[in-house]
Amino acid sequence: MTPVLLIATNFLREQRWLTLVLALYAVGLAVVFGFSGTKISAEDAVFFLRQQSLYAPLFSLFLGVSAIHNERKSRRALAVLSKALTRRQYVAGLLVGIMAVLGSYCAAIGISGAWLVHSAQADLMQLWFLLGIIALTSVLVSAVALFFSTFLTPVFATAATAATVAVPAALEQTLGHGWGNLLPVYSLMTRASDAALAHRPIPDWRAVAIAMIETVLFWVLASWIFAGRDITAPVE
Amino acid sequence: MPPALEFEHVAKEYRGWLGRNPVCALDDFCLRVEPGEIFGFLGPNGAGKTTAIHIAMGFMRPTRGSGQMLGRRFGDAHTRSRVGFLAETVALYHRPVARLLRYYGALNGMRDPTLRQRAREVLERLELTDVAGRNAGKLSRGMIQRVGLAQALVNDPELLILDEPTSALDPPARVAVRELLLAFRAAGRTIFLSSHQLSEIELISDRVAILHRGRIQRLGRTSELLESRERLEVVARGVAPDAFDGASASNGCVKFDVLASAQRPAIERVWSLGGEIVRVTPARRSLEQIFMEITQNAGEELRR
Repeated sequence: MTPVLLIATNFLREQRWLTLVLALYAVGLAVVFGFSGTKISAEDAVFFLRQQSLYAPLFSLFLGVSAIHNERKSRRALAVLSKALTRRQYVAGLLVGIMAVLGSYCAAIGISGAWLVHSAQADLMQLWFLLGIIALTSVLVSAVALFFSTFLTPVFATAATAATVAVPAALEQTLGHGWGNLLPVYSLMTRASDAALAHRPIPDWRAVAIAMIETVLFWVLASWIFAGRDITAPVE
Repeated sequence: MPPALEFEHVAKEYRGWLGRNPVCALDDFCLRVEPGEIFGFLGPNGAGKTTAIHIAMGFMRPTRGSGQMLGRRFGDAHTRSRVGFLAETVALYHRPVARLLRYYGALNGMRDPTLRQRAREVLERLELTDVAGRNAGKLSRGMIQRVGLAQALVNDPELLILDEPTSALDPPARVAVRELLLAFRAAGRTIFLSSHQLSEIELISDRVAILHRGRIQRLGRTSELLESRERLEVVARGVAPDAFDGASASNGCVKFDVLASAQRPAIERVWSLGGEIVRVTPARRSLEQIFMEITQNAGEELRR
Protein backbone atom coordinates (compact mmCIF):
# COMPACT_ATOMS: atom_id res chain seq x y z
CA MET A 1 0.00 0.00 0.00
CA THR A 2 2.82 2.39 0.84
CA PRO A 3 4.32 2.48 -2.69
CA VAL A 4 0.84 3.25 -4.06
CA LEU A 5 0.46 6.21 -1.70
CA LEU A 6 4.00 7.40 -2.44
CA ILE A 7 3.35 7.35 -6.19
CA ALA A 8 -0.04 9.03 -5.65
CA THR A 9 1.29 11.85 -3.46
CA ASN A 10 4.15 12.38 -5.88
CA PHE A 11 1.67 12.59 -8.78
CA LEU A 12 -0.41 15.12 -6.85
CA ARG A 13 2.73 17.09 -6.14
CA GLU A 14 3.75 17.04 -9.82
CA GLN A 15 0.26 18.24 -10.79
CA ARG A 16 0.00 20.82 -8.01
CA TRP A 17 -0.17 23.83 -10.33
CA LEU A 18 -2.84 22.24 -12.50
CA THR A 19 -4.78 21.30 -9.35
CA LEU A 20 -4.51 24.85 -8.08
CA VAL A 21 -5.63 26.32 -11.41
CA LEU A 22 -8.64 23.97 -11.55
CA ALA A 23 -9.63 24.80 -7.97
CA LEU A 24 -9.20 28.54 -8.56
CA TYR A 25 -11.26 28.26 -11.74
CA ALA A 26 -14.15 26.63 -9.88
CA VAL A 27 -14.00 29.09 -7.01
CA GLY A 28 -13.47 32.05 -9.35
CA LEU A 29 -16.49 31.14 -11.47
CA ALA A 30 -18.64 30.82 -8.35
CA VAL A 31 -17.44 34.24 -7.20
CA VAL A 32 -18.43 35.73 -10.59
CA PHE A 33 -21.90 34.21 -10.21
CA GLY A 34 -22.16 35.23 -6.57
CA PHE A 35 -21.18 38.84 -7.07
CA SER A 36 -22.86 39.45 -10.41
CA GLY A 37 -25.16 41.97 -8.77
CA THR A 38 -28.42 40.09 -9.10
CA LYS A 39 -29.82 37.68 -6.54
CA ILE A 40 -28.61 34.13 -7.06
CA SER A 41 -31.36 31.80 -8.15
CA ALA A 42 -31.50 28.02 -7.97
CA GLU A 43 -31.09 27.98 -11.76
CA ASP A 44 -27.78 29.85 -11.46
CA ALA A 45 -26.50 27.30 -8.99
CA VAL A 46 -27.69 24.42 -11.20
CA PHE A 47 -25.99 25.97 -14.23
CA PHE A 48 -22.73 26.30 -12.34
CA LEU A 49 -22.87 22.69 -11.13
CA ARG A 50 -23.85 21.31 -14.55
CA GLN A 51 -20.97 23.14 -16.17
CA GLN A 52 -18.47 21.79 -13.65
CA SER A 53 -19.91 18.29 -13.95
CA LEU A 54 -19.00 18.36 -17.65
CA TYR A 55 -15.47 19.64 -17.10
CA ALA A 56 -14.46 17.14 -14.41
CA PRO A 57 -14.61 14.00 -16.64
CA LEU A 58 -12.84 15.96 -19.36
CA PHE A 59 -9.96 16.86 -17.01
CA SER A 60 -9.81 13.26 -15.80
CA LEU A 61 -9.58 12.07 -19.40
CA PHE A 62 -6.51 14.21 -20.04
CA LEU A 63 -4.91 13.34 -16.71
CA GLY A 64 -5.45 9.62 -17.32
CA VAL A 65 -4.15 9.68 -20.88
CA SER A 66 -0.99 11.60 -20.04
CA ALA A 67 -0.02 10.09 -16.66
CA ILE A 68 1.98 7.07 -17.88
CA HIS A 69 3.05 8.72 -21.13
CA ASN A 70 4.67 11.70 -19.39
CA GLU A 71 6.54 9.49 -16.93
CA ARG A 72 7.84 7.27 -19.71
CA LYS A 73 8.74 10.10 -22.06
CA SER A 74 10.62 12.02 -19.38
CA ARG A 75 12.30 8.72 -18.33
CA ARG A 76 11.44 9.42 -14.71
CA ALA A 77 9.58 6.11 -14.73
CA LEU A 78 12.93 4.29 -14.92
CA ALA A 79 14.17 5.41 -11.52
CA VAL A 80 10.76 4.70 -9.97
CA LEU A 81 10.28 1.28 -11.55
CA SER A 82 13.84 0.27 -10.64
CA LYS A 83 12.62 0.19 -7.03
CA ALA A 84 10.77 -2.56 -5.20
CA LEU A 85 7.30 -1.97 -6.58
CA THR A 86 5.21 -3.85 -9.10
CA ARG A 87 3.68 -2.37 -12.24
CA ARG A 88 0.25 -3.00 -10.67
CA GLN A 89 1.20 -0.79 -7.72
CA TYR A 90 2.57 1.83 -10.09
CA VAL A 91 -0.67 2.03 -12.11
CA ALA A 92 -2.71 2.02 -8.89
CA GLY A 93 -0.54 4.86 -7.56
CA LEU A 94 -1.16 6.93 -10.68
CA LEU A 95 -4.91 6.25 -10.50
CA VAL A 96 -5.04 7.26 -6.84
CA GLY A 97 -2.98 10.35 -7.73
CA ILE A 98 -5.50 11.30 -10.43
CA MET A 99 -8.28 10.72 -7.88
CA ALA A 100 -6.49 13.07 -5.49
CA VAL A 101 -6.28 15.82 -8.16
CA LEU A 102 -9.95 15.32 -9.02
CA GLY A 103 -10.81 15.18 -5.33
CA SER A 104 -9.24 18.62 -4.86
CA TYR A 105 -11.20 19.93 -7.84
CA CYS A 106 -14.43 18.39 -6.50
CA ALA A 107 -13.72 19.92 -3.09
CA ALA A 108 -13.39 23.33 -4.74
CA ILE A 109 -16.66 22.77 -6.62
CA GLY A 110 -18.25 21.62 -3.37
CA ILE A 111 -17.19 24.66 -1.37
CA SER A 112 -18.11 27.19 -4.04
CA GLY A 113 -21.26 25.25 -5.00
CA ALA A 114 -22.37 25.07 -1.38
CA TRP A 115 -22.07 28.83 -1.14
CA LEU A 116 -24.13 29.33 -4.33
CA VAL A 117 -26.77 26.77 -3.34
CA HIS A 118 -27.00 28.26 0.14
CA SER A 119 -27.36 31.76 -1.37
CA ALA A 120 -30.15 30.43 -3.61
CA GLN A 121 -31.77 28.98 -0.48
CA ALA A 122 -31.99 25.57 -2.14
CA ASP A 123 -31.44 22.08 -0.75
CA LEU A 124 -27.75 21.20 -0.27
CA MET A 125 -28.50 17.50 -0.54
CA GLN A 126 -28.64 17.71 -4.33
CA LEU A 127 -25.19 19.33 -4.37
CA TRP A 128 -23.55 16.48 -2.47
CA PHE A 129 -25.36 13.98 -4.67
CA LEU A 130 -24.11 15.68 -7.82
CA LEU A 131 -20.58 15.98 -6.45
CA GLY A 132 -20.52 12.26 -5.65
CA ILE A 133 -21.61 11.45 -9.21
CA ILE A 134 -19.03 13.85 -10.69
CA ALA A 135 -16.27 12.20 -8.65
CA LEU A 136 -17.38 8.67 -9.53
CA THR A 137 -17.75 9.28 -13.27
CA SER A 138 -14.43 11.19 -13.37
CA VAL A 139 -12.59 8.31 -11.72
CA LEU A 140 -14.20 5.87 -14.15
CA VAL A 141 -13.16 8.01 -17.13
CA SER A 142 -9.59 8.30 -15.81
CA ALA A 143 -9.41 4.51 -15.33
CA VAL A 144 -10.55 3.99 -18.94
CA ALA A 145 -8.05 6.61 -20.17
CA LEU A 146 -5.24 5.03 -18.13
CA PHE A 147 -6.13 1.64 -19.60
CA PHE A 148 -5.90 2.88 -23.19
CA SER A 149 -2.73 4.84 -22.46
CA THR A 150 -0.90 1.61 -21.58
CA PHE A 151 -0.85 0.56 -25.24
CA LEU A 152 -1.84 3.60 -27.31
CA THR A 153 -0.26 6.97 -27.96
CA PRO A 154 -1.97 9.88 -26.16
CA VAL A 155 -3.90 10.97 -29.26
CA PHE A 156 -5.29 7.50 -29.94
CA ALA A 157 -5.88 6.87 -26.23
CA THR A 158 -7.92 10.08 -26.03
CA ALA A 159 -9.95 9.07 -29.07
CA ALA A 160 -10.46 5.53 -27.76
CA THR A 161 -11.57 6.79 -24.33
CA ALA A 162 -13.94 9.31 -25.88
CA ALA A 163 -15.41 6.57 -28.08
CA THR A 164 -15.76 4.17 -25.13
CA VAL A 165 -17.67 6.82 -23.19
CA ALA A 166 -19.70 8.00 -26.21
CA VAL A 167 -20.87 4.63 -27.56
CA PRO A 168 -23.04 3.68 -24.52
CA ALA A 169 -24.41 7.24 -24.55
CA ALA A 170 -25.34 6.92 -28.23
CA LEU A 171 -26.88 3.50 -27.60
CA GLU A 172 -28.96 4.92 -24.77
CA GLN A 173 -30.15 7.71 -27.03
CA THR A 174 -31.12 5.36 -29.87
CA LEU A 175 -32.07 2.08 -28.19
CA GLY A 176 -33.39 3.36 -24.88
CA HIS A 177 -32.60 3.33 -21.19
CA GLY A 178 -30.34 0.55 -19.93
CA TRP A 179 -27.73 0.63 -22.71
CA GLY A 180 -26.09 3.61 -21.07
CA ASN A 181 -25.15 1.39 -18.15
CA LEU A 182 -22.59 -0.43 -20.33
CA LEU A 183 -20.25 2.35 -19.19
CA PRO A 184 -22.48 4.56 -17.06
CA VAL A 185 -20.74 7.91 -17.45
CA TYR A 186 -23.38 9.58 -19.57
CA SER A 187 -26.38 7.98 -17.83
CA LEU A 188 -25.17 8.95 -14.36
CA MET A 189 -24.26 12.47 -15.38
CA THR A 190 -27.54 13.21 -17.15
CA ARG A 191 -29.59 11.76 -14.30
CA ALA A 192 -27.70 13.81 -11.75
CA SER A 193 -27.71 17.07 -13.67
CA ASP A 194 -31.35 16.73 -14.75
CA ALA A 195 -32.50 16.53 -11.15
CA ALA A 196 -33.85 19.86 -9.91
CA LEU A 197 -32.46 21.33 -6.73
CA ALA A 198 -35.92 21.36 -5.21
CA HIS A 199 -36.26 17.60 -5.30
CA ARG A 200 -34.53 14.96 -3.26
CA PRO A 201 -32.24 13.00 -5.61
CA ILE A 202 -32.76 9.29 -6.10
CA PRO A 203 -29.46 7.66 -6.99
CA ASP A 204 -29.37 4.94 -9.63
CA TRP A 205 -27.57 2.48 -7.39
CA ARG A 206 -27.25 -0.08 -10.18
CA ALA A 207 -25.34 2.40 -12.36
CA VAL A 208 -23.24 3.48 -9.36
CA ALA A 209 -22.29 -0.14 -8.66
CA ILE A 210 -21.45 -0.77 -12.34
CA ALA A 211 -19.27 2.35 -12.42
CA MET A 212 -17.35 1.21 -9.34
CA ILE A 213 -16.87 -2.32 -10.65
CA GLU A 214 -15.77 -1.04 -14.06
CA THR A 215 -13.25 1.33 -12.47
CA VAL A 216 -11.62 -1.63 -10.72
CA LEU A 217 -11.87 -3.71 -13.90
CA PHE A 218 -10.14 -1.08 -16.04
CA TRP A 219 -7.43 -0.67 -13.39
CA VAL A 220 -6.85 -4.46 -13.38
CA LEU A 221 -6.74 -4.51 -17.20
CA ALA A 222 -4.41 -1.49 -17.31
CA SER A 223 -2.07 -3.13 -14.77
CA TRP A 224 -2.11 -6.42 -16.63
CA ILE A 225 -1.29 -4.84 -20.00
CA PHE A 226 1.28 -2.44 -18.55
CA ALA A 227 3.03 -5.34 -16.77
CA GLY A 228 3.69 -6.93 -20.14
CA ARG A 229 4.85 -3.80 -21.91
CA ASP A 230 8.41 -2.70 -22.60
CA ILE A 231 8.48 0.60 -20.78
CA THR A 232 11.63 1.94 -22.35
CA ALA A 233 11.85 2.86 -25.97
CA PRO A 234 14.97 1.36 -27.52
CA VAL A 235 17.73 3.82 -26.76
CA GLU A 236 20.16 2.32 -29.24
CA MET B 1 26.53 -19.27 -4.50
CA PRO B 2 24.12 -18.02 -7.17
CA PRO B 3 25.46 -15.47 -9.64
CA ALA B 4 24.68 -11.82 -9.02
CA LEU B 5 23.41 -11.56 -12.58
CA GLU B 6 22.93 -14.19 -15.26
CA PHE B 7 21.62 -13.97 -18.81
CA GLU B 8 20.73 -17.29 -20.43
CA HIS B 9 20.45 -17.24 -24.23
CA VAL B 10 18.64 -13.92 -24.17
CA ALA B 11 17.48 -12.43 -27.44
CA LYS B 12 15.65 -9.18 -28.00
CA GLU B 13 14.12 -7.96 -31.21
CA TYR B 14 12.55 -4.57 -31.66
CA ARG B 15 9.76 -4.52 -34.18
CA GLY B 16 7.99 -1.67 -35.87
CA TRP B 17 4.29 -1.27 -36.51
CA LEU B 18 2.66 -4.66 -37.32
CA GLY B 19 5.97 -6.40 -36.70
CA ARG B 20 7.78 -4.74 -39.58
CA ASN B 21 11.45 -3.72 -39.69
CA PRO B 22 12.72 -6.04 -36.95
CA VAL B 23 16.01 -5.00 -35.34
CA CYS B 24 17.96 -7.56 -33.36
CA ALA B 25 19.41 -5.84 -30.26
CA LEU B 26 20.56 -9.00 -28.47
CA ASP B 27 21.22 -12.38 -30.01
CA ASP B 28 21.74 -15.54 -27.92
CA PHE B 29 23.28 -13.42 -25.20
CA CYS B 30 24.77 -15.40 -22.32
CA LEU B 31 26.62 -13.79 -19.42
CA ARG B 32 27.29 -14.60 -15.78
CA VAL B 33 28.38 -11.95 -13.28
CA GLU B 34 29.81 -13.35 -10.07
CA PRO B 35 29.12 -11.84 -6.65
CA GLY B 36 31.76 -9.41 -5.40
CA GLU B 37 33.23 -8.40 -8.74
CA ILE B 38 33.24 -5.25 -10.80
CA PHE B 39 32.12 -6.26 -14.25
CA GLY B 40 32.83 -3.90 -17.14
CA PHE B 41 30.25 -4.04 -19.91
CA LEU B 42 31.52 -2.44 -23.11
CA GLY B 43 30.36 -1.97 -26.63
CA PRO B 44 29.84 0.70 -29.27
CA ASN B 45 26.56 2.58 -29.61
CA GLY B 46 23.80 0.20 -30.64
CA ALA B 47 25.64 -2.87 -29.35
CA GLY B 48 22.74 -3.81 -27.03
CA LYS B 49 24.22 -2.83 -23.64
CA THR B 50 21.29 -0.74 -22.45
CA THR B 51 18.84 -3.32 -23.77
CA ALA B 52 20.56 -6.03 -21.70
CA ILE B 53 20.45 -3.83 -18.59
CA HIS B 54 16.79 -2.96 -19.11
CA ILE B 55 15.92 -6.63 -19.50
CA ALA B 56 17.74 -7.41 -16.24
CA MET B 57 15.84 -4.62 -14.46
CA GLY B 58 12.52 -5.87 -15.82
CA PHE B 59 11.86 -2.76 -17.90
CA MET B 60 11.51 -4.93 -20.98
CA ARG B 61 10.94 -8.58 -21.68
CA PRO B 62 13.30 -10.67 -23.78
CA THR B 63 12.01 -12.06 -27.05
CA ARG B 64 13.68 -15.35 -26.14
CA GLY B 65 15.70 -16.65 -23.21
CA SER B 66 15.63 -15.80 -19.55
CA GLY B 67 17.85 -14.75 -16.70
CA GLN B 68 18.15 -14.12 -13.03
CA MET B 69 19.29 -11.38 -10.71
CA LEU B 70 20.42 -12.23 -7.16
CA GLY B 71 18.86 -15.68 -7.51
CA ARG B 72 15.43 -14.52 -8.70
CA ARG B 73 14.06 -14.21 -12.22
CA PHE B 74 14.38 -10.88 -14.03
CA GLY B 75 11.67 -8.35 -13.16
CA ASP B 76 11.00 -9.60 -9.63
CA ALA B 77 9.93 -6.51 -7.68
CA HIS B 78 11.14 -7.73 -4.29
CA THR B 79 14.66 -8.40 -5.64
CA ARG B 80 14.92 -4.81 -6.82
CA SER B 81 14.99 -3.66 -3.17
CA ARG B 82 18.50 -5.21 -3.09
CA VAL B 83 19.61 -3.56 -6.34
CA GLY B 84 20.73 -0.03 -7.16
CA PHE B 85 20.22 1.23 -10.71
CA LEU B 86 21.44 4.31 -12.51
CA ALA B 87 20.02 4.93 -15.98
CA GLU B 88 22.05 6.30 -18.86
CA THR B 89 19.87 9.42 -18.95
CA VAL B 90 19.17 10.55 -15.42
CA ALA B 91 15.71 12.09 -15.08
CA LEU B 92 14.57 13.21 -11.65
CA TYR B 93 11.55 14.89 -10.16
CA HIS B 94 11.83 18.58 -9.40
CA ARG B 95 12.07 18.45 -5.63
CA PRO B 96 14.79 19.00 -3.03
CA VAL B 97 17.63 16.51 -3.34
CA ALA B 98 17.38 15.14 0.22
CA ARG B 99 13.62 14.63 -0.06
CA LEU B 100 14.07 13.02 -3.46
CA LEU B 101 16.52 10.51 -1.99
CA ARG B 102 14.12 9.70 0.83
CA TYR B 103 11.33 9.24 -1.74
CA TYR B 104 13.35 6.68 -3.70
CA GLY B 105 14.45 4.99 -0.48
CA ALA B 106 10.84 4.76 0.72
CA LEU B 107 9.85 3.16 -2.59
CA ASN B 108 12.39 0.47 -1.71
CA GLY B 109 10.65 -0.15 1.59
CA MET B 110 13.05 1.85 3.77
CA ARG B 111 11.62 3.77 6.71
CA ASP B 112 12.80 6.50 9.07
CA PRO B 113 15.06 6.78 10.99
CA THR B 114 17.18 4.33 8.94
CA LEU B 115 16.19 6.03 5.70
CA ARG B 116 17.00 9.54 6.96
CA GLN B 117 20.37 8.35 8.28
CA ARG B 118 21.24 6.49 5.08
CA ALA B 119 20.24 9.45 2.88
CA ARG B 120 22.51 11.70 4.94
CA GLU B 121 25.44 9.26 4.58
CA VAL B 122 25.01 8.97 0.81
CA LEU B 123 24.77 12.76 0.41
CA GLU B 124 28.01 13.16 2.36
CA ARG B 125 29.75 10.37 0.43
CA LEU B 126 28.88 11.96 -2.91
CA GLU B 127 29.59 15.50 -1.69
CA LEU B 128 25.99 16.56 -2.17
CA THR B 129 25.37 17.92 1.33
CA ASP B 130 25.60 21.51 0.10
CA VAL B 131 22.83 20.98 -2.44
CA ALA B 132 20.63 18.74 -0.24
CA GLY B 133 17.98 21.45 0.00
CA ARG B 134 18.13 22.52 -3.63
CA ASN B 135 15.67 21.53 -6.33
CA ALA B 136 17.12 18.54 -8.22
CA GLY B 137 15.66 19.80 -11.48
CA LYS B 138 17.74 22.97 -11.32
CA LEU B 139 21.15 21.35 -10.84
CA SER B 140 23.88 21.03 -13.45
CA ARG B 141 24.12 17.83 -15.51
CA GLY B 142 27.06 16.57 -13.50
CA MET B 143 25.28 17.20 -10.20
CA ILE B 144 22.15 15.47 -11.50
CA GLN B 145 24.28 12.45 -12.36
CA ARG B 146 25.63 12.45 -8.80
CA VAL B 147 22.10 12.63 -7.41
CA GLY B 148 21.21 9.75 -9.74
CA LEU B 149 24.06 7.75 -8.28
CA ALA B 150 22.91 8.68 -4.78
CA GLN B 151 19.40 7.35 -5.42
CA ALA B 152 20.97 4.10 -6.64
CA LEU B 153 22.99 3.80 -3.43
CA VAL B 154 20.39 4.93 -0.90
CA ASN B 155 19.09 1.40 -0.23
CA ASP B 156 22.64 0.07 0.37
CA PRO B 157 22.30 -2.41 -2.52
CA GLU B 158 24.01 -5.78 -2.96
CA LEU B 159 24.16 -5.27 -6.72
CA LEU B 160 24.76 -1.96 -8.42
CA ILE B 161 23.86 -1.65 -12.10
CA LEU B 162 25.27 1.51 -13.63
CA ASP B 163 24.73 2.67 -17.18
CA GLU B 164 27.32 5.35 -18.01
CA PRO B 165 27.69 6.63 -14.43
CA THR B 166 30.50 9.10 -15.10
CA SER B 167 29.66 10.49 -18.54
CA ALA B 168 28.79 13.98 -17.21
CA LEU B 169 31.32 14.15 -14.38
CA ASP B 170 34.47 16.25 -14.19
CA PRO B 171 37.83 14.47 -13.54
CA PRO B 172 37.83 14.94 -9.71
CA ALA B 173 34.28 13.62 -9.49
CA ARG B 174 35.23 10.65 -11.68
CA VAL B 175 38.07 9.80 -9.33
CA ALA B 176 35.68 10.07 -6.37
CA VAL B 177 33.17 7.74 -8.05
CA ARG B 178 35.98 5.31 -8.90
CA GLU B 179 37.04 5.22 -5.25
CA LEU B 180 33.43 4.80 -4.19
CA LEU B 181 33.00 1.81 -6.50
CA LEU B 182 36.22 0.22 -5.27
CA ALA B 183 35.08 0.66 -1.67
CA PHE B 184 31.74 -0.85 -2.64
CA ARG B 185 33.48 -3.92 -4.05
CA ALA B 186 35.73 -4.16 -0.99
CA ALA B 187 32.52 -4.47 1.05
CA GLY B 188 31.68 -7.59 -0.97
CA ARG B 189 29.13 -5.96 -3.27
CA THR B 190 28.79 -6.47 -7.02
CA ILE B 191 28.94 -3.79 -9.69
CA PHE B 192 27.77 -4.18 -13.27
CA LEU B 193 29.19 -1.19 -15.07
CA SER B 194 28.40 -0.14 -18.61
CA SER B 195 30.57 2.67 -19.86
CA HIS B 196 32.34 4.25 -22.79
CA GLN B 197 35.08 5.49 -20.42
CA LEU B 198 37.45 2.65 -21.33
CA SER B 199 40.26 3.88 -19.10
CA GLU B 200 37.90 3.82 -16.10
CA ILE B 201 36.82 0.27 -16.88
CA GLU B 202 40.45 -0.76 -17.37
CA LEU B 203 41.36 0.63 -13.96
CA ILE B 204 38.64 -0.90 -11.83
CA SER B 205 37.03 -3.88 -13.57
CA ASP B 206 37.83 -7.45 -12.58
CA ARG B 207 36.24 -8.82 -15.73
CA VAL B 208 35.13 -7.31 -18.98
CA ALA B 209 32.72 -8.24 -21.76
CA ILE B 210 32.77 -6.49 -25.11
CA LEU B 211 29.47 -6.57 -26.91
CA HIS B 212 28.96 -5.85 -30.59
CA ARG B 213 25.71 -6.11 -32.52
CA GLY B 214 24.03 -8.02 -29.71
CA ARG B 215 26.71 -10.66 -29.29
CA ILE B 216 29.63 -10.95 -26.92
CA GLN B 217 32.85 -10.62 -28.88
CA ARG B 218 35.30 -10.91 -25.98
CA LEU B 219 34.88 -11.93 -22.36
CA GLY B 220 37.47 -12.47 -19.69
CA ARG B 221 39.55 -11.12 -16.84
CA THR B 222 40.67 -7.58 -17.61
CA SER B 223 44.34 -8.38 -16.95
CA GLU B 224 44.24 -11.38 -19.32
CA LEU B 225 42.45 -9.45 -22.03
CA LEU B 226 45.00 -6.67 -21.91
CA GLU B 227 47.87 -9.11 -22.34
CA SER B 228 48.34 -10.04 -25.97
CA ARG B 229 48.90 -13.69 -26.81
CA GLU B 230 50.19 -12.88 -30.32
CA ARG B 231 52.69 -10.15 -29.48
CA LEU B 232 55.57 -9.92 -27.03
CA GLU B 233 57.36 -6.93 -25.62
CA VAL B 234 61.15 -7.22 -25.68
CA VAL B 235 63.34 -4.99 -23.48
CA ALA B 236 67.04 -5.08 -24.32
CA ARG B 237 70.22 -3.25 -23.30
CA GLY B 238 73.33 -2.38 -25.32
CA VAL B 239 71.68 -2.03 -28.71
CA ALA B 240 70.71 0.98 -30.81
CA PRO B 241 66.94 1.67 -31.07
CA ASP B 242 67.09 2.09 -34.86
CA ALA B 243 68.08 -1.57 -35.22
CA PHE B 244 64.46 -2.62 -34.61
CA ASP B 245 61.19 -1.44 -36.17
CA GLY B 246 59.10 0.71 -33.86
CA ALA B 247 61.61 0.54 -31.01
CA SER B 248 61.84 3.24 -28.35
CA ALA B 249 64.60 4.01 -25.90
CA SER B 250 64.30 4.95 -22.27
CA ASN B 251 66.54 4.63 -19.20
CA GLY B 252 69.28 3.06 -21.29
CA CYS B 253 67.01 0.29 -22.54
CA VAL B 254 65.42 -0.33 -25.90
CA LYS B 255 61.83 -1.54 -26.02
CA PHE B 256 60.05 -3.07 -29.03
CA ASP B 257 57.17 -5.42 -29.88
CA VAL B 258 57.51 -8.60 -31.94
CA LEU B 259 55.12 -11.31 -33.04
CA ALA B 260 55.30 -14.36 -30.75
CA SER B 261 56.41 -16.43 -33.74
CA ALA B 262 59.33 -14.01 -34.35
CA GLN B 263 60.49 -14.05 -30.74
CA ARG B 264 63.57 -16.24 -31.24
CA PRO B 265 65.07 -14.37 -34.27
CA ALA B 266 64.56 -11.07 -32.45
CA ILE B 267 66.39 -12.26 -29.33
CA GLU B 268 69.22 -13.72 -31.47
CA ARG B 269 69.49 -10.41 -33.31
CA VAL B 270 69.91 -8.55 -29.98
CA TRP B 271 72.68 -10.98 -29.02
CA SER B 272 74.34 -10.74 -32.43
CA LEU B 273 74.45 -6.93 -32.04
CA GLY B 274 76.23 -7.36 -28.70
CA GLY B 275 73.24 -6.50 -26.56
CA GLU B 276 71.58 -8.36 -23.73
CA ILE B 277 67.91 -9.21 -23.06
CA VAL B 278 66.45 -7.57 -19.96
CA ARG B 279 62.98 -9.15 -20.23
CA VAL B 280 60.46 -10.63 -22.65
CA THR B 281 56.81 -10.29 -21.57
CA PRO B 282 53.42 -10.47 -23.26
CA ALA B 283 52.76 -7.11 -24.87
CA ARG B 284 50.20 -5.10 -22.94
CA ARG B 285 47.56 -3.29 -24.92
CA SER B 286 45.02 -0.76 -23.78
CA LEU B 287 41.37 -1.61 -23.59
CA GLU B 288 40.82 1.04 -26.23
CA GLN B 289 43.07 -0.82 -28.68
CA ILE B 290 41.23 -4.10 -28.05
CA PHE B 291 37.87 -2.37 -28.32
CA MET B 292 38.76 -0.75 -31.65
CA GLU B 293 40.19 -4.00 -32.99
CA ILE B 294 37.07 -5.98 -32.11
CA THR B 295 34.57 -3.47 -33.43
CA GLN B 296 36.54 -2.99 -36.67
CA ASN B 297 36.91 -6.75 -37.23
CA ALA B 298 33.21 -7.31 -36.58
CA GLY B 299 32.37 -4.49 -38.97
CA GLU B 300 34.58 -5.97 -41.71
CA GLU B 301 33.07 -9.44 -41.22
CA LEU B 302 29.64 -7.94 -41.60
CA ARG B 303 30.62 -6.14 -44.83
CA ARG B 304 31.99 -9.43 -46.23
